[in-house]
Amino acid sequence: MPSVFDTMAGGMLFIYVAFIGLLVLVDVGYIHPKDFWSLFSSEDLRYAMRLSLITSTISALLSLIVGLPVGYALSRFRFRGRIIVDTLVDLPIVLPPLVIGVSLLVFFQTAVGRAIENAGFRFVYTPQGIVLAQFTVVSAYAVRTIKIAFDGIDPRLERVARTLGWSRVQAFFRVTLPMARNGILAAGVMAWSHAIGLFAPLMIFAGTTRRKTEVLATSIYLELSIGRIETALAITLLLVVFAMVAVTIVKKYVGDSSAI
Amino acid sequence: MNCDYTMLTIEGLCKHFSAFSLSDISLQVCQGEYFVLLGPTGSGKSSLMEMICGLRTPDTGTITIAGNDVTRLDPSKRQIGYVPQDYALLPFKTVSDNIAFGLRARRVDSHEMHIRVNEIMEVLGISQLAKRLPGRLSGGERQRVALARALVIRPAILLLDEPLSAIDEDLRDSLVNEIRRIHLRMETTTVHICHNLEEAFALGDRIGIMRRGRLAQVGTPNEISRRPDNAFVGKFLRLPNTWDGVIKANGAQNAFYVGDFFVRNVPNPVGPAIAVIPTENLCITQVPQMCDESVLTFAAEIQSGLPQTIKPELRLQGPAVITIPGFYPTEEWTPGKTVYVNVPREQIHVVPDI
Repeated sequence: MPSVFDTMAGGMLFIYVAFIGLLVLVDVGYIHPKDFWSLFSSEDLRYAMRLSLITSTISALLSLIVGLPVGYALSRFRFRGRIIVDTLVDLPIVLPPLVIGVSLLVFFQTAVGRAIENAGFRFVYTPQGIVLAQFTVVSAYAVRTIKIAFDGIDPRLERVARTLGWSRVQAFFRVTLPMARNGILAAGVMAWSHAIGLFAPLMIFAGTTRRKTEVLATSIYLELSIGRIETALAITLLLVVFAMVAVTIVKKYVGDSSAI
Repeated sequence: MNCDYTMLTIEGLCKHFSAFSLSDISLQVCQGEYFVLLGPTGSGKSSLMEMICGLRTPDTGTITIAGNDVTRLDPSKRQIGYVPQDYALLPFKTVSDNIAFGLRARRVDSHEMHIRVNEIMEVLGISQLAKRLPGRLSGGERQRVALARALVIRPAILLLDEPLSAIDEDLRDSLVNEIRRIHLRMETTTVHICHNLEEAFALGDRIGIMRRGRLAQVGTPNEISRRPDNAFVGKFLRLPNTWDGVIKANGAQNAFYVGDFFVRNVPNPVGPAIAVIPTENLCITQVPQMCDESVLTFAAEIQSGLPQTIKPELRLQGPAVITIPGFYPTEEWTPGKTVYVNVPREQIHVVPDI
């Protein structure tokens, strides 16, 4: 016989899951299958889909490239002011994404930002800007997840490897990296799924120009603004599918304890 | 110990940490010797071992292994086999792959690697574990795998960092014997750190006792237990019949005092001190003996003497408590009775309490 406590916890779980499931179900119920297939017949939306997949994949890969050394340094190095550095790394996670977009826009109005643009690296209102905005937000998730993966690995393993004849770099690649593999996979998937759903900073920094800087998340906004609710919901469901596939991959290969 | 070849030399080694320092460590370990670094937690044993491994660099001083100055050399080039606490086996590699890990770093060809891995697994009796993952091994098995991994690379020095600390008490004795057996067979120069006295005395050809980042004494088990250099060593080794007292001037010579009782002609300077009273060559009589000056005689009252006990001993209250282990008292040795203890003076070892 379950206790009152167990019944309450189980009941709350049921209500919560039902609420989330209901949100998805009402979207599914609102649209007709042809709305869903219309996504693939519209040239504009196919472009947005392609751009979304390309930019979020590049952002996720860049996040991993930066996240590996940064996560390792945060996990292993002890230095003065570490808490401040740690907080700054987490800032993109806790800040409203809109603020990131505004900050990027302002940065490219400064002398340094203008110099970068004048050197030919154009970001404002360009597809490259989408990658930069996505990277700025999702790299923090990647760094955090990778750091947690490295935290779980005993540094002594690397040290013993060094005494057995491996250099420090070899010990990292032979011992630490294979052991952090699942955490790194989780970081990549999480970065990718956050990137593909990112909206506000892209609106501000990259704009929503059709067939130029329009991605799926901004398409929802554009479709809603012209009253095509069914198409907006179809895109929403596509993002839900992407998110569910990503989370399932993480849970299958990394386990429930991953830092999602 | 006869030392034809010094395998490890540490000279004037110092390292300052934020709350602790290793100070002026000098030490020599001979080829084939089993050297135990013993000391309480926080005495600097592990830090010293990390410097021998090359995982930390000393501020000053030198470390020489097999005649080569390795003070600033990377750990990968030091020819050492290191077994840390908890063994640090790679959880994603099988036992045989763990053992072969150091050979792969040395690019040993696969045929020779196979032979050497099998050979060392046989010596350590772990051949049947070859395909298992470390997560499925017992504590004793993990220890043997870690030892095999360190020994298979044929290191100049084997460094064992508290290898038995994670082992159950029941298993510890058999593993001590196992380590001794392997050492006798492989003859690898070994430095072993621990804080367990029984372990140190069972294994060490010589023992170095560390205290607050310094080597308090180095010697054979017999030397340090009979003639500790200072009170810390005597107390740390829990030597029986260690009397706290003080050295005072007594005429032209100094004397060691416990209350009114004193031992004359002590060579040490004035100040707090301890006296170690040997239990061997003690003569206990029921009437005073007429002895010459070479024997110190004092009266003591029998406190307890239980013949029916696991650890038979006679406990006396003289100037301080004195216990005589292995003593089976007969009925005439009743508590409260006064007896006389006769100790050869030359065997009373007085050292300053610093």
